[in-house]
Amino acid sequence: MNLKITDHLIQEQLKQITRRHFLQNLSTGIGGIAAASILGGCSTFFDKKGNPTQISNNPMEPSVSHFRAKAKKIIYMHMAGAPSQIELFDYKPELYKLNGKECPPSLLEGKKFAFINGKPNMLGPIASFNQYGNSGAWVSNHLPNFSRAVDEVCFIKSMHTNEFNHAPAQLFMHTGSPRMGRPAIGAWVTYGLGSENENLPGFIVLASGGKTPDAGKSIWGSGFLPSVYQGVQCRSEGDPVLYVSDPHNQDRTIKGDIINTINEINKEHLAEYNDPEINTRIAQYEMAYKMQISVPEVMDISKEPAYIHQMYGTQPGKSSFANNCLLARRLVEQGVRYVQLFHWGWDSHGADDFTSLTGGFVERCKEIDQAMTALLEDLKQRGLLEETLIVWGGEFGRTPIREIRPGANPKNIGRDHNPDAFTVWMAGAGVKAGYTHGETDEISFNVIKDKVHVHDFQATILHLLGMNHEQLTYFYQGRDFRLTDVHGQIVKQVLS
Amino acid sequence: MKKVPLLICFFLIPNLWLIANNGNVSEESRFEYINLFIGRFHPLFVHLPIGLIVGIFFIEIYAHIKKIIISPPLIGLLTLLTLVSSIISIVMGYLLSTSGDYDLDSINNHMYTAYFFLLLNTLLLIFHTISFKKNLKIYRYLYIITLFLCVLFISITGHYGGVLTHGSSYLSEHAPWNYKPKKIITDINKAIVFEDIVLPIFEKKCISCHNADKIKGGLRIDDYDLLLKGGESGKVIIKGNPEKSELYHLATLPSSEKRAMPPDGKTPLTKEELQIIYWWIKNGAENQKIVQDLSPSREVIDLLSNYYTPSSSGTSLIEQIKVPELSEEALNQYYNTSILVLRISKNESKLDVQFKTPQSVNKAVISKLEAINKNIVYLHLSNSSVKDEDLKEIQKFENLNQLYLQNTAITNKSLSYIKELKYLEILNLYNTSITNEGINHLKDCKNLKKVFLWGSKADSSILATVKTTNPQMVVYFGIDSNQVNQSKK
Repeated sequence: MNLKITDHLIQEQLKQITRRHFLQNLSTGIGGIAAASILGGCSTFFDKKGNPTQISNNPMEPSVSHFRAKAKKIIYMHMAGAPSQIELFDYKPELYKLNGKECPPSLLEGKKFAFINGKPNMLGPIASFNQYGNSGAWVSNHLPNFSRAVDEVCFIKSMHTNEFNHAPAQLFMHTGSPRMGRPAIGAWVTYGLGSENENLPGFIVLASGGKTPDAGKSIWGSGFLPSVYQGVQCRSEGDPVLYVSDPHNQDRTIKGDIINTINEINKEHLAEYNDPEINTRIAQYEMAYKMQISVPEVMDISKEPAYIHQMYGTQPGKSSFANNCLLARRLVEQGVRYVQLFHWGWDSHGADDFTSLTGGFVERCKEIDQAMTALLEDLKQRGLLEETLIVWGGEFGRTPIREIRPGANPKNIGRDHNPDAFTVWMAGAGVKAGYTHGETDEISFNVIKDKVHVHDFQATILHLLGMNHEQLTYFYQGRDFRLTDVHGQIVKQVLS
Repeated sequence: MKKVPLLICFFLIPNLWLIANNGNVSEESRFEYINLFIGRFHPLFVHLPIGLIVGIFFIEIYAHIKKIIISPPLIGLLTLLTLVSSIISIVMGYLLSTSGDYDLDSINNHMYTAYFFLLLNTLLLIFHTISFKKNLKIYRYLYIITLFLCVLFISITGHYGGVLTHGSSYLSEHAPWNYKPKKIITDINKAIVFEDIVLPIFEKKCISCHNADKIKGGLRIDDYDLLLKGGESGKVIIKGNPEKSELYHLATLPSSEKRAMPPDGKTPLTKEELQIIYWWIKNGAENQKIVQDLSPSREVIDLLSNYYTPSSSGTSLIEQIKVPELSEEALNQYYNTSILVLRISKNESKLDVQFKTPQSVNKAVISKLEAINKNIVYLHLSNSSVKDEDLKEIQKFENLNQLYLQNTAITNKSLSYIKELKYLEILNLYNTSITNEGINHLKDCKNLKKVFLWGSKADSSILATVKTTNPQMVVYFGIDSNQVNQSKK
């Protein structure tokens, strides 16, 4: 072990050459370029047309959209656990009459449920409904504030998905595939369009406390895309990003120097191996440095005027959906491309008070109602709704059939998962406001008109952001991948 | 010369067939049925003589230029084939015309030119044969003249045939001199139901067979009165009763059904188109009424506006803005600078401009945009350090459509610079020092649709003035803090 320092360095460098690099070099030597394409994903950057490009120093450099974008930014509010469409938007008068009646076997034929078995009963809506606004949209009594804003909103009542369990359904909703490994829609968007604010990440994720969504962080992961495109989760309580503040007594310029030097070395490395992950590392170091100033500033909602806090129902320092709504507004104001909000606790099975439609569900509604309405109105009055798209939804819907958990208190009422019908809404740039698309049958069990599949919904979101979902591809493991796989039809009716 | 009588016989055969057939036309016979079956091969078969005669023409030109001799028997064979195929085509054409689906004048034009072509074709064969056998120059010249005439007449005949199948306006419809800007429906409630909504559907799907030249089933759909009059089998529209109306009934049949309209192979009406026609007939199949008169339900309005979405999106102001062409080099000079210049979409010369470091935007930075200022349609100066005097040049950005000035230190003076921007639709002045007086500068921006004034010094007292100067402008004053407090109490 008496190696000289130069020998040692050579040794270290050789260790860096992984099997991938070895095979890659081998392929250029023997099989030529054709063989190299098999290992494509790790060799070069490809532009949006699939042509290899020179590695740009900034993977987040904004780029031109396929066609004219209606929306430049997006706030996506995901209600993890899947809220009941029957208690919120999908008014079904017939279902009240069927309450408590035995479910006819014909309804259950061919259906798979996560929990329901045996001979279940129907469950009427535990809400009262009214029509609101010029559009006459139905909204339940659980969302009194939101009913003011329905003329800004476009409801899609005919959503359906392939998955009936939370984790795969959430993955499906966000990555277009029920299994892990695909990039989230926010990653696709920042990959396709870049980010306009150089001091903040292009894809920011905010969760309102509680537990993280069942599918975990992979629903804001970058999958096979370079990891620079993955969502950056900011905490809404305490330090927004851990370890982002300077250590005590350490000068910021020193840190700047350190990062510059590290990045110089990384750039040499990049020139040598051409691995996009090195580029990611460089970009993230620079971003982290800039975020030390930009993040604490933008994430500090305490300086907002009192009436704004009152409007959103925010309490600075707490971790809540309301705080996240206000943060989302501040982030899009600063030009963040994709803001993903997660709320939790919507899985209303009725196993206990927290998951009962009469208990926890009502609380969840209160938590979102005022804040999301305030967000809509605030963006509208600031003129930000002109170029921001807002999306609200869960991962699937809930059954019109009551689920009885063995041993659960009968006063707790719940519904099971229903992948065949659920409601989402969109608002803002390019969306037909005050419009309802699609229809379910009279018990909100199946879609009977204008079905919208998850892939159709994703294609529509990309369309609103100016991207053709069939052209937004990434070459990986020998083929082009896209968010909507081989599916997806744009729902033209919801476009303004 | 022995063959001449034979040729004359050929020429006579179709006429004999026609004479023989004439006696049978009145009978609804099986014979007529077969006639029509054979007749329908006419549009297919007719291309054979056309191709042959044009082929001969080009072979002769080629031979002339290259100064070579093409084997005369070969030309003779081709000419004979042309003659035989023309005769067959003409017979088929006659059989097709007996169906009575076509306008008589148009048919006659087509038929007589075709006969004349047949005559020329016969002469062509005769002249060719003589010039070849006897080697007489004069016949060679006659042959060439006849060949020219043949090509001329086959073109005229072909054109009349095209008029029959596609209508007389088919060729000239999209000619540059016939360009008519499409009528654009801006307000669906004010659209005339028949003329603006129903007729365009018919034009797209029905009129190619039911027009003045081609009157299938005796029905014309290109005119309201004639449509109501109906066809051979009677009325096709029963006012107020779409289910009993033959037109709606046939259009809803599956394409496998023999009587389905449009016939198998043509594009059927979409679900939406059928719904629109149903709604129109149900409401009395009126000619002049506008959508509003029929008090449409919400669903109908959605249906109609969805059907017209493609054309309405083309009406937006930004489409009308014409900007100079832009080269990639002009854009490259901004690459890696503090200015972010992007095309608003691929292949468009309209630009969206933002600033990467908004805190250092000043006059010098803005003046860097001079080379592309007419291309910029969206300009983002929000949260920037821009001041009134920096915006002096903004009046030269004459194609601006959206201007974002929120969270800046600008005052009324800036608005006096932008008053000339005639394409401006969105102006964001959130959190600026604009006052009511400043808004007066905007009275000439007739296209201005949205102005955001929350956090500025302007207030709702200007609304009365705005209503008269810019009736379509919506002003956003934001959320009143007092209102929020009250609603919570």
